[in-house]
Amino acid sequence: MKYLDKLEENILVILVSAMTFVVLLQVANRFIINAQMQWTGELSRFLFVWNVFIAASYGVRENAHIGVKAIVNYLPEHVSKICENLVYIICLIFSILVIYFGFSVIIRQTQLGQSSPALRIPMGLPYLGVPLGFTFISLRFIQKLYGNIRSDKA
Amino acid sequence: MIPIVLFGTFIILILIGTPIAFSIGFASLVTVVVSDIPLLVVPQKLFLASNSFPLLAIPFFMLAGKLMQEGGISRKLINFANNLIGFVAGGLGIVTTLSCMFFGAISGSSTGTVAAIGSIMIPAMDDNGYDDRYASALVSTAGSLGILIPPSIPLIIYGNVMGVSIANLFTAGIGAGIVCGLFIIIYNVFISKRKGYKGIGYIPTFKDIWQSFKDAILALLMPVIVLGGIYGGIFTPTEAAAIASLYGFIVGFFIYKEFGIKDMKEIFLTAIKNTSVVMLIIAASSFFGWIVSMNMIPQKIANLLLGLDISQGMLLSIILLFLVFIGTFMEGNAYIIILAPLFAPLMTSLGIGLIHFGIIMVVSVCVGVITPPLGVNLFTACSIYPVTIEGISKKILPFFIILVLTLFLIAFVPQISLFLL
Repeated sequence: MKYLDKLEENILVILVSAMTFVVLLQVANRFIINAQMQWTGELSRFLFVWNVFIAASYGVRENAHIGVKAIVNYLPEHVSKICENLVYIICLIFSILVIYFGFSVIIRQTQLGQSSPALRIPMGLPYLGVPLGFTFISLRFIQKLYGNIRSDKA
Repeated sequence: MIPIVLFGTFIILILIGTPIAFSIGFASLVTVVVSDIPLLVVPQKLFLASNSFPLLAIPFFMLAGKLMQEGGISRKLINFANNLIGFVAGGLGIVTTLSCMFFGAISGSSTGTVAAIGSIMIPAMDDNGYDDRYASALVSTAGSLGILIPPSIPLIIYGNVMGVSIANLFTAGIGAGIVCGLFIIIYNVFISKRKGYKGIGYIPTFKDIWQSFKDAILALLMPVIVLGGIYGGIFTPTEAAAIASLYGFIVGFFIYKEFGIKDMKEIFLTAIKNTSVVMLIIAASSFFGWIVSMNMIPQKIANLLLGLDISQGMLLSIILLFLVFIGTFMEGNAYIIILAPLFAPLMTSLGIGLIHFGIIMVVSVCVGVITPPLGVNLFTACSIYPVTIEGISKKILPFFIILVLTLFLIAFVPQISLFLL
């Protein structure tokens, strides 16, 4: 899991830097050589998609995804524990479905040979950010669930 | 049937403490299964929502805000405000509100503003004899101006969903933000007089003011660059946000030397984490909103309400109260994506334009972020200073009333938002 932490952080730092660089490049280009580049807008959007879903996994790790705890906090401890595990399972089911159907979309697009308008790359590539991010997310929820079950036994 | 499945699942998931993005996503997923739509739409909707150049402004404004905060900007802004007005009764409260307004012109998020200003001003007010619960409630409320005063992430989201100019929304946010801030300041002075909260002990000389202004000038220049660039048609809001990040980096790294290259990793990670929290909610909500609009729910609500035999002012008041009610337990961004298209047709028939309506929506989000159970600003205040949610909640009621009254004022007097347009 340490390996996953590092991998996730490094991917994110690279993606954010690249995204910032591409948008700044777009502005610089318009001012300096007065040229409008089509690919910068597209590339920055695709990087953003990857960024959002991989960072969402980082957010799960840091407990950043807000929810309403007001009711759960008033329940007896063992009940609130059950609720917590139930929440993890629901999030896990959602993630797995997104992974499965995400890859289905990619396979279909690859068969159709769709490519992006400006960069001419296969559309499956930007789409990959969604199932890939949710793969990370599902690992995080498994990690949380496992942690809870282990602390219950102890 | 479909609306019951959709909203029913959503409410149950929220009650058991599911993260908001997943509650919205899972409820939509269940509805898709029930209505026999192929599940392939799920990843597609998530992708399409985030594959957006206007929304790319969000990570950059998050990044700019974080860079400015780390770069010691908040302290300089506070110092300037303190020299300007800190000496009157309730001075620190006014300084807090003004600093939040200044910082709101740099940051596009309300929790970011609470964290940046609150971490300095709550302890300062506590030291000067303010009730710490009152101080926290004040920062939470003034911090909500972060999303009303441009740049504003909720306004970017609204512009994106409703297809209206983000630049015009930003302009409209200025007037509303100032009015809101003014009311908070007036209430603060009133309370301070009653409780005997004093100002700073000395009256600053003109030289002090000038010096603190010079210290803060780089921070005060940022909104000028960002907003000037957008209104001047020099760059799009997204590009402006990227420029703001670059500016924040240059100021913090080269000029104030508050952070080094190795701090950048933490700054990047925090910015993108906060972005993904918002974006995941946006992606799930646009999926949710798609199901809502496919089932003609907006038209049904509009027809129902327009069929009532009441005056227009009465109808508008009912809608506003309803918005406040929903806003208290819904996350602000999800609230905008789902409810704005729902109520827009109705608002238009009441003669409220889309820009004006955007401001109304965001002010009601401001109410929502300071009201339990989902008052994210209150959580932020609690996370930076040892006060309890229950403690702040007791002091938040007057602020809640002030913001609701402001909401009505802004709704019934369009000029407050539209006079600059």
